[in-house]
Amino acid sequence: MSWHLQIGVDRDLLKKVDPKLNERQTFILSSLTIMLLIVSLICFFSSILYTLIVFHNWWIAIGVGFFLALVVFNLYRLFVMTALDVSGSSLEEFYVDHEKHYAEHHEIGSDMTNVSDEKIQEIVAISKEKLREKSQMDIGRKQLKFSDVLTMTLRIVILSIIAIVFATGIELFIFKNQINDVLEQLKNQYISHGETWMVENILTPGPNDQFYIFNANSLLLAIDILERGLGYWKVVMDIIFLIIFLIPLALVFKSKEIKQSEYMRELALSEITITFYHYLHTQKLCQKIIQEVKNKEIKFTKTKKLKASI
Amino acid sequence: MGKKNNYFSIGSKLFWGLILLVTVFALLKLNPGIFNGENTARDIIVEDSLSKVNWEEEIVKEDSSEIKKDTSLKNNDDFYVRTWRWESYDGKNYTLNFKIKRSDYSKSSSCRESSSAGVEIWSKMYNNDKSGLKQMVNEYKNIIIKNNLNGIEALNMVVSSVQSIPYVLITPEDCPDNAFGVRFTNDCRPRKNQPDGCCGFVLPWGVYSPIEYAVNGSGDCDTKSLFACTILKELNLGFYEAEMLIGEVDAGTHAMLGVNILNPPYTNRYVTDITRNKFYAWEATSPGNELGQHVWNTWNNWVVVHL
Repeated sequence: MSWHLQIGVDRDLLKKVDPKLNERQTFILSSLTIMLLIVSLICFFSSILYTLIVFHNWWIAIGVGFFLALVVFNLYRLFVMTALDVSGSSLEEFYVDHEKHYAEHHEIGSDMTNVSDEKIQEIVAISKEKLREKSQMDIGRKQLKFSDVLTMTLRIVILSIIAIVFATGIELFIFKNQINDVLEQLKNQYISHGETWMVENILTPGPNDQFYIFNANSLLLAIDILERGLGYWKVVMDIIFLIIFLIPLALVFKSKEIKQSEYMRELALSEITITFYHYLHTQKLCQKIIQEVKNKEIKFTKTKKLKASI
Repeated sequence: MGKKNNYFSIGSKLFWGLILLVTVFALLKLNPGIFNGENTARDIIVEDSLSKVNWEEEIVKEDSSEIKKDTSLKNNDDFYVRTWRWESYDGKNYTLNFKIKRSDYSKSSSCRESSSAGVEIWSKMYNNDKSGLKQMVNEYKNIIIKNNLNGIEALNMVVSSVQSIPYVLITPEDCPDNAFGVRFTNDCRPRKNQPDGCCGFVLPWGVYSPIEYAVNGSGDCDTKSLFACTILKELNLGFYEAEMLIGEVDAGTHAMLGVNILNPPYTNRYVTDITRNKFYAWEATSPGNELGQHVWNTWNNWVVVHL
C-alpha cells in the first residue's frame, strides 16, 4: 500500500524523482506516514479508555476515539507537511521570490499578446529544466530566524501537550490491574468507615450499568492513583511518549534524506513552474484587454438626472 | 550519504524501539515493579477533603465530648453505631449510645443533595430525617428519665451535647483558609485543636442533614441548630416549642436554635414570630452558651423559621 499518499505526498511528483532514489524516497515518506498513524493509534486507544471510564459505552468510546485520532492525525500531518520546504537550499531564493525566476527567463513588460499558449508552456518547461540543473539541494548551515523559532516552539508545545494527555491513557491501561487493586482497597476502606457517598457514586456502577476496564466512575481518581502509584516513573513514561510523538517532527527537520530529498526539489520546482505559467498567461491576457480598451471608441453622452424616489 | 542516512535510520529505530517497549508492557501486562500501590488508598482517603473517614483515629478524645465509632458492624445493612460523651453546664457527664441505619443515612444525604438552596431545605431535611433519629431521641429520653432532668435541665443536656462537639465549617464552596477571623483546614472532621475543620462543596446550601450530623459530627451554625431543633421537636416534652432562627450577627449571616419557653435562664436575645411568640436564641456552635444569653453584639434582621 502507498502509505505515503495518506499524508499528502504528490504521486506524480514522486514519479519524477530519479528512479535510483525513488524507492528510498517512497520508503522514507511511507515510514513517516506509518509513524503518524501509530501516534494516532495511541491517541485512539487512549481516548477509548478515557471515554469508557466516563460513559461506560463501547460505541461512544470508539466513536470519540476515532474522532480524536483523526483530529490528531490531521493536525500532525499539517505540522509535518508545512515543515517540508526548501529553506537553506539554492532553490530557496527562487522559491521565496518567484519574480527573480521570471526575470531570468522573460523580459518583464515585453509584448505577450502574440505569444501562443504552446510557446508559454515551452518557456516554462525550459525554465524549469534550467532551474533544476542550477539548483543543488545541499543545505548549508541555515541561519535561524525568529519566526522559525516561534513556529517550531509552537509545534513542539502543541505536540507535547497532546503527547502527555494521551500518554496518561496508555499508562492507565498498562497499570490497570494495579489501579483496580487500589480501587478495591479504597472501596473496602470507605465501606468499613461508613463513607457511602464515594462508594455509591464513584466506586459502584449505576443501575443497569457496568464497569469496563476500571472499577470506578471517576477518570480523575484513576489518574490520581496512577500518579501516586508511579511517582517519578510517571514522568519517565511521559518522556518516553513525548519522544515517540516528537520523533516524526524531528526527522522532518533534521533528516537530510527528507529535507534535501529529490521529492522536495521536484515539489518546489513544480510550485515555481505553476506560478510562472500562470504569471505569463495573466500577462498575456492583461495586455490583450488593455489593447482592446485602447482600440475601442468611447462616446460620452449626457443623461437625465434621476430624482431620488426614496 | 552515510551521514544523510544516519538521522532517519537512528530516529526510525528509536521510534520503533520505544513503540515495541510500550506495546510489550501494555499487552503482556508486565509489572516492572515501578507501581507502588501499597499506601495509595490510605493516602487518598487521608487527603480527601470530602471524606469523613477517620483513618488516623484523631477524633477528639480528650475533650468533654467524645465521638466513638464502633466499626465492628461492617455490613451495608447494619447501623452506624456511635457514642457521644459530654459535660453539661452543671458539670454533669452524660453518655449517649445510639445507632442509625445506613439506609437512613443514604436517604438523608440524597434528600439534602436533591433539595434546592434556601431555608426550606431545613424543613425538608427535618421531615425526612425525624423517623431515622427515633432511636437516638429515645436514648435522650432515657437519659432524661434516668437522671430525673426537669424543664430547662433536659434542654440543657440535649443542647450541650451538640455544643460540645467541635465546630466544623460547612460550605458549598471550597474551604477558606480564614473566615470571620477563624482559621480553617481542609479536614471534614471535628478537630480538637486549631485550625478548625471544614467540609467544602457540601451542596446545595452548605448544611448537613440531622442524620449526617449525628453520624459524622461535622457541623456549623445551621447544621448544629437544625440537629438540636430536630431532637427537641421529636422529644416533644410539652413545655417548649423549638424552631430555627436566622439573622445577622457580628460575623455575618447566622443561624441559631430558637426555643419558646416560660422562664428561660436568660432573656437577652430573642426573636418574635408572626403570632407574637418569643423564641429565645440559643447558640449551638460552642459550649457554655445558654438559652437567651447575650453572645453577639450585632443583632439584626432576625426571623423565626418554622420547620
